[in-house]
Amino acid sequence: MNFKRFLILVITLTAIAVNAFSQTAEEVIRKMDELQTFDTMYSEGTMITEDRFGEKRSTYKAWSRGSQDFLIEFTNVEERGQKILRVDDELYLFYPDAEDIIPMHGAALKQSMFGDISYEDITEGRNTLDKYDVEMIGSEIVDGKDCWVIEMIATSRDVPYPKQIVKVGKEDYVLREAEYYARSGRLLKIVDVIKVETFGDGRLMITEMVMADQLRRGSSTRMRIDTLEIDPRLNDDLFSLRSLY
Amino acid sequence: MTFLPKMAFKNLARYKKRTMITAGAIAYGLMMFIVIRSLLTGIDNESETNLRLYETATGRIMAQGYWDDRETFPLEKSFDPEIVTPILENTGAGYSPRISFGGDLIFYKDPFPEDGSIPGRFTAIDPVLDADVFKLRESLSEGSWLVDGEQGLILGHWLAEDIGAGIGHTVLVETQTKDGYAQVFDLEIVGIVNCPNPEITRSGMFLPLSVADEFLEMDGTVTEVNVNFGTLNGADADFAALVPDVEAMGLEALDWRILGADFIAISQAKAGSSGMIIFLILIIAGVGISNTMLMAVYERVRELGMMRALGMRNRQIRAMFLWESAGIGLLGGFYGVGLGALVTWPLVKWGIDYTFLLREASFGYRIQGQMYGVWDIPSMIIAFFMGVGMAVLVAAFSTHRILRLDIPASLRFQ
Repeated sequence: MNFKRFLILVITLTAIAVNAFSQTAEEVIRKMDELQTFDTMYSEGTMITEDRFGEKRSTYKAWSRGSQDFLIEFTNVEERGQKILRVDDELYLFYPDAEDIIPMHGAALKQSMFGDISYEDITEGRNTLDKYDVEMIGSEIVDGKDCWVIEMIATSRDVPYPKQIVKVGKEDYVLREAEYYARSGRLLKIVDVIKVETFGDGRLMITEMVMADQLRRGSSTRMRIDTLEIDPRLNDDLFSLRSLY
Repeated sequence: MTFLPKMAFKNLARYKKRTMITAGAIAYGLMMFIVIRSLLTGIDNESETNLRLYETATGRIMAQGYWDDRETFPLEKSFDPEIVTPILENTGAGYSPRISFGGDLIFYKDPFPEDGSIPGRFTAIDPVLDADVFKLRESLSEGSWLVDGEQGLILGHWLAEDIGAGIGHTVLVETQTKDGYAQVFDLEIVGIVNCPNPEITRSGMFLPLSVADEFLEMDGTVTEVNVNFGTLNGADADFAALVPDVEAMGLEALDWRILGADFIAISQAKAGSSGMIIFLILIIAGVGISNTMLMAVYERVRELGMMRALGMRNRQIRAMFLWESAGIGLLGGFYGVGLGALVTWPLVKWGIDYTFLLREASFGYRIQGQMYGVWDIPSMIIAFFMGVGMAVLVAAFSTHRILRLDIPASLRFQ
């Protein structure tokens, strides 16, 4: 084999490898989305935020439909009756004391919903590939699990973070860690998955994770699912403004 | 002809204590009226000036719909300032493009006293053009002014004190780009402003326009162009003349009264409170005078009966009492205006230090630290005539009651 043929072979193999790697990144993300998306779901959970002022705990009930629609109702004493509805790509808040529905737009979505979680953090949905260009950038062991490391660059203006790096288990396609970056490249938040459980038909579900704010030292929010019901029968009216009152 | 006034004067002198107490009540009410009017007018004038010099200018040009959504800092409602500069230059007005955006100021222990973050409004300004419109640069109390292209930040004096900020300290700004992406960038505190407008001192955060343009990815667009025609009388008319041309470009132009609507609302409420003060003064004066006049009349029922028996007519007696009350009103008026002027003088010269009150809470007024009074001469004249008029009016009612008794009943009155 002369040098010219050898060079063509190397280039061809490299192109095939790069292509395969790129497809794999998309495939991994698609599978990860599929695993975490249910026709319907009901859960009860706890959110615990820790910062320099101490610890705060909230409990909630949540209903979701597909990859986009959800309704969250807080059940702890301080916030009892407060609801957050996401439907038709719009986010609404309901405060029982005011008996008023507040649509959330623009900069308002940046406000904290709970601790380090902003409203925009919960509006991303799971159709990741519609909103990001993904690229496989390597492998890494996260908490003993071999993971793909995938860089996601936003292609849509509907997402809050222009860049994310996600680490997804090679065996189970479950997200193990995520890093959120600002436009300037500065790391904003890190999500660590603490616990993954198997439910019903053997599907894996993240039941505990911690989101740590990298700009505010010592500030983190732990989200824990205490009760989970997959594919329960839900009334369509649940995901409407009427259900907020 | 002078009999009745002389007699009224003698009566006033005869009942010195009563006269002085009644005149004192009137004087106190009038003094309060003059002082409060002086302070409120002073605050109003200074607030209006500070609003225009540090916040609103004569008016502001914005993209259509920006003002309605201003609470959410809609960066997408921005425009190229170059499209309005030709007409602004033709009018000779000063103009200053700015970008207003919301975000969090994040700071860390060492050099700051502790970690923290505060949400707020950031204003990106053209370091050169801004001086043609606002007096911010003249209020720099520490450090240096912003330099185009350098990542500097100027903070309000109270804000800097609250977070323990000093010159050279570095902070982070967490915000969103025009496209809505999360953005974080560093700024170094280069200056601190301490201006007479408490809104700026309490929460002002200013950075160079070019820095905001780069990090917010504004592509040369701005959220507002502030226009300055000065603070003289013709300024509003000059700005109003500009509005049709601006609207023809698909933009909107709002004058300082709309931009400073919170202050205008306070100012209008003040007009209402002034009315309430006048009403209270009328009550104080009315109750005091009517009480004194009733006492005077009832003490002298038999004396009046005798005067009427000797041939003095009701009209003359009524006139005598009106002269008496007018005398009390005059005394109260003079005292009141004199005292009012006496208290107003230090208010005009030195003012009252309200820093402790204004620092903690915003009342809508744009004054900081010292509240100064003004010499409100029309209010003093009004106060004087109000005192005399009230005294005469109330006396007329009191006298009327006693004159309804017949002469024998008056002579037997105990």
